[in-house]
Amino acid sequence: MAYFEIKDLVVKHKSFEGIKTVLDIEHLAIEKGETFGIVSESGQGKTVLALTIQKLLATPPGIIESGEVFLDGEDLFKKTPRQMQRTINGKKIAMIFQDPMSCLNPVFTVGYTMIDVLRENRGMSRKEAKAEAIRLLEEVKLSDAGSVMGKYPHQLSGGQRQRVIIALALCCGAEFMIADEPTRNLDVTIQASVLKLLKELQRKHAITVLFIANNLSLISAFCDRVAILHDGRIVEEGDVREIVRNPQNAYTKMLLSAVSRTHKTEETDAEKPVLLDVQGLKKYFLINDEIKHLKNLTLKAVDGVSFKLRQGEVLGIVGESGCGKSTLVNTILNLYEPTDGKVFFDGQDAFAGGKRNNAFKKNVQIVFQDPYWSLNPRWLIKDIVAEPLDVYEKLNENERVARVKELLAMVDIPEDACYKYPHEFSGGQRQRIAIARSLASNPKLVVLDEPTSSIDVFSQAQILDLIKDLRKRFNLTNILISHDLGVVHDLSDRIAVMYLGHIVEFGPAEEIFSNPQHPYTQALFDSIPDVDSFGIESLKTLEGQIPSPINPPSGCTFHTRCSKACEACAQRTPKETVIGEGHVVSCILFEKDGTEAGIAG
Amino acid sequence: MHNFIENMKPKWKSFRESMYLLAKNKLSLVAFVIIILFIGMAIFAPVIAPYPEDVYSTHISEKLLPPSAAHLMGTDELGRDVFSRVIFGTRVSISAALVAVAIALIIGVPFGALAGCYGGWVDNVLMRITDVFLSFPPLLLAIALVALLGAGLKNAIIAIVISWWPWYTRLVRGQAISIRERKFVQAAETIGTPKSRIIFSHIIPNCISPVIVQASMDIGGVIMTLASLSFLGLGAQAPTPEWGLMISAGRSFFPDKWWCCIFPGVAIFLTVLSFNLLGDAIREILDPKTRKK
Repeated sequence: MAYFEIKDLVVKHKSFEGIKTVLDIEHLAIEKGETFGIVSESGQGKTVLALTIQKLLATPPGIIESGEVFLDGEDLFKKTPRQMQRTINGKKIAMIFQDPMSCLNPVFTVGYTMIDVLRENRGMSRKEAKAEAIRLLEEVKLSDAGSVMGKYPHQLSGGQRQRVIIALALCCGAEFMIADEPTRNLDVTIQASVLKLLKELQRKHAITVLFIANNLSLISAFCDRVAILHDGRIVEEGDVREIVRNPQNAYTKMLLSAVSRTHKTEETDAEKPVLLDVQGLKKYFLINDEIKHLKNLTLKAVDGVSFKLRQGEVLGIVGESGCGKSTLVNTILNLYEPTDGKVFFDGQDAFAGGKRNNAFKKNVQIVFQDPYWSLNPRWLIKDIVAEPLDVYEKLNENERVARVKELLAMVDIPEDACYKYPHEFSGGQRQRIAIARSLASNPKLVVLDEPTSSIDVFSQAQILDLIKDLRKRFNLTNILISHDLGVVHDLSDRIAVMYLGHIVEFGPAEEIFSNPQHPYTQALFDSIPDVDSFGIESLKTLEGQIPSPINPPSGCTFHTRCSKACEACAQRTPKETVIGEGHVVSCILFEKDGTEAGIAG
Repeated sequence: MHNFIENMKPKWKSFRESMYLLAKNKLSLVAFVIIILFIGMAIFAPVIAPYPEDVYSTHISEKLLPPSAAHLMGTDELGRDVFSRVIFGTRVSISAALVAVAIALIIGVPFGALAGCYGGWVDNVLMRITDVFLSFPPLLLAIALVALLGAGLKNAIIAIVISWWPWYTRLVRGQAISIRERKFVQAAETIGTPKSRIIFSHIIPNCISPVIVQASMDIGGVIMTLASLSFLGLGAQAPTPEWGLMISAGRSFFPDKWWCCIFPGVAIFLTVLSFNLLGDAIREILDPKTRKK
C-alpha cells in the first residue's frame, strides 16, 4: 500500500439549490518522499480536498458520503475529530495555507506562537522551546531570527510570513505536508525563493508533499507527479514531464495552452501622436510612524517618472509589489494629488481643473484587479455597466438598456445578465462586465490594473484575447500593470520596469523580453517558472527584501540586492542611458556606452 | 412591463434563499411567526378582540375578574377586558416603535455616511455631536427629554428618536469608512460619478446590512423603552391601551390580581424577544458567509 492513499472519496455540498457533488475521487496514491501536485482552476474542489483529508471540512454544508483516506497505513476517516487533532493534524500532517496573514494570530508575536506550539506538542520547557524556535526560523532562512521572534505578523512581509508558516509546519516533525497554493499572493521573486526553500526542506527531512496549485508552470518546477482535477474528478494523472509534453485529456490541454502562450506584437507605427505624456511625476506620502514616534516621514512611492505613450500602444508596467506601480497609475488618473510633475493627455494638462476634470475622466478608464469588489454587489449588472452613461450621457431607460446590451455583447456576456447581480457570475465573467463598464464612455485610454491576477488561468487566456480584440476594434491605448510577466509579454508593446518608485528600464517589449539589460530586469525574468522547464533548479531567485521607500538606499536604489553592484552604485544616482531605439536603462554599468538622454526625450 | 418582470426575478430568487436560511434555524422561524402574529393582531385588532369597546369604556361591576372563558386574561380595576386591551396595545407599541426607529434611521444613516465619506472636520463635528448624545444612557436621556417636552406618546417618540439616532450614525460611519476604500467606489470616482451619487447609491446601500440588523433588534428595545416611559407616567396617557401603562395601573393589585400585570408583561417579553431573535436571523441571512458565494 502506498504511503498516502485515497479510495472512492465522494464529498457533496448542500445548499438551497440542492445537493451538489464537489469531489469524486476513485483512487489517488502518493509514495513516501514524493512531491505530488494537484492542479485545477479555483472552484473545482482543490481546497475541499485538503480540508477533507484533515477532517476539517465543515459538515454541514459539506457531506462526506463515502471513501477512505489512508496515511501510513492508518484510516483517517475512522478516527474521531479529537483523535485527529491530537495525533494527526500538525503532528503527521502539516498544512501550509495560501494566505499566511489569516492563519497567524495577529495579537501574538511570532515567537509566542512558535513557543506555544512547541511546548504544547513536544512538551519542551520554555527555554528549550525558544532555542528550538530560533533554530527552526533559521532553518527556513529568515535572517535575524532573533528579532523576527519578537515581531507581530503584520510587521513581516508576505514572504517572511510564509516562511514562518513553514517553520510552524516543521515544528512537530510532520512527514506529510499539504501546501495549498502557498505562493499565490507572493511576488515572483519571493515565490521562487519560497519554493526553493520548501524543496530543500523536503529533501532534508524526507517529507511527502501534496502541492495544490492553479498553475501548471509552478507544478512543473516543483513536483514529480501531477493529477489534474476537474469538476471534482481526476481527469488525468501521471509524471509531470509526461503530462506537460504529451497531454491526453482535453481539459489538460486547455490548461496547458493557457500557460504557454506565445506572443506576437504587431508592428506599431512610431509616428502615431503621443497620447499620454508624463513628465517628472512624483508622489510622496507624508506618514507618521506610530510605533517609533517619528512624524512626517516621506514615503517616496513614485519618485520622478517620465515616459511617453503613443496612441494605440500598450505600456506594461512590471515590478514587485511595493515598487509604486499602482500609485503611479492612480496619480496619472488624478485619484491622488501629485507632489510634483505634469501629465499631458492629448496635449492638454490633465491636472488642470482638479479632481473634477470630467473631460479627462471620460477619456480615461480603469479596470481593477479584483472584479468582485470593483462591482457594487447591490447593483444590477445593467446599472453597473451604465454608470458612466449616467454621468456623461442622458439616456432614457430603453436607450440605456439597449446600450448596455450592446456593451455586454462586445464582451460576450449574454443579454439576460442585465437583470442579475455580480455574485451570480464567475470571476472571469465579472471581469468582462468590468471591461464593458470601462468602455461605456468611449474612452481613449484604459488602464488595466492586474486584470487577470485574481481569475483562473483558463479565463485569463480568454480575457487577454478579449482585451486584444477590443483594442483593435476601438483603437484603445492601454496601460497594463501586472506582476505576471507572461501577461505583460502577451499584451504589451512597451515595457517599463519599476523599482522603488523609479523606472529602471524602459523599452520595446520584444527587446526587453529577449534581451533584458538592467540587472533587476534580468533577475525578475529569471524567477518566473516556465512550464517547459522542470525541476526546482530551473528557478533563479533574487535574494533580499525590497527596501522601504521611506528610507531608500543611497545612489542606485537597487544596489543592495544587485549581483553586479560596485562601490559607485551606492554613491551616485544612475542616469538614464539610451542603449537602443527607445530602449532606456538607468544603471551605471551602461553609462559609458550609451548617450545620455531621458526616457521622455 | 417586461423590464419589470426581469427586474423582480433576482429579488424573488434571493427572497426564496432568505426563506430557506430562515427556515433552517428553528428559533428564528418561531420568532418570525410570533412577529407575524403580533403584526396581524395589530392590524386586525378590532376583529380579534372579544370586547373592542372595552379599550375605553368601563364596567365597574365587572372589575378585577380572574381569567375565565368570558375574559381570557381577566379584567382590570375598571372592569375592562385585559385580553382586548393587550391586543389593542400591540397597535400602539409596534407602530410607535416602528415610527421611532424609522425616524432615527432617516436622521442617523445619512449623517453617518457623510461623516464616513468625507472624514476630516465633517467627521469630527458630526462625531462630537453624537458623542454628546451617547454620553447619557438612552433611557435616562429619554426621561429627561420627556420631562422637558411634557408627557405623552408623541413626545415619548420624539425623545426616543433623539436618544437613538447617534447609534446609527456611529454604526454607518464605521461601515462607510471601510466601504469607501472598496474598489467599486474608486471605480465610480474614475468614471466621474458625482460625490452625492457615490454616497447615496454606492456607500449607503452597502452599509445598510448591519443597520437593518441593529434596527430590528432596536425595535424590541424601543418597545421596552416606550413601556418604561409609560410605566413612569411619561409616555402614553390613560386610557390608551399601552402595555407599560397597564402594568403600572395593575401594579397596586399585584400579586393578588396578577393577571392585570402579567399578561401585558408577557406581551412585552414576547415581542422584545422575537425582535431580538429576528435581528439574529437577519444577520445570518445578510451575512455573505452563510450564503453560497
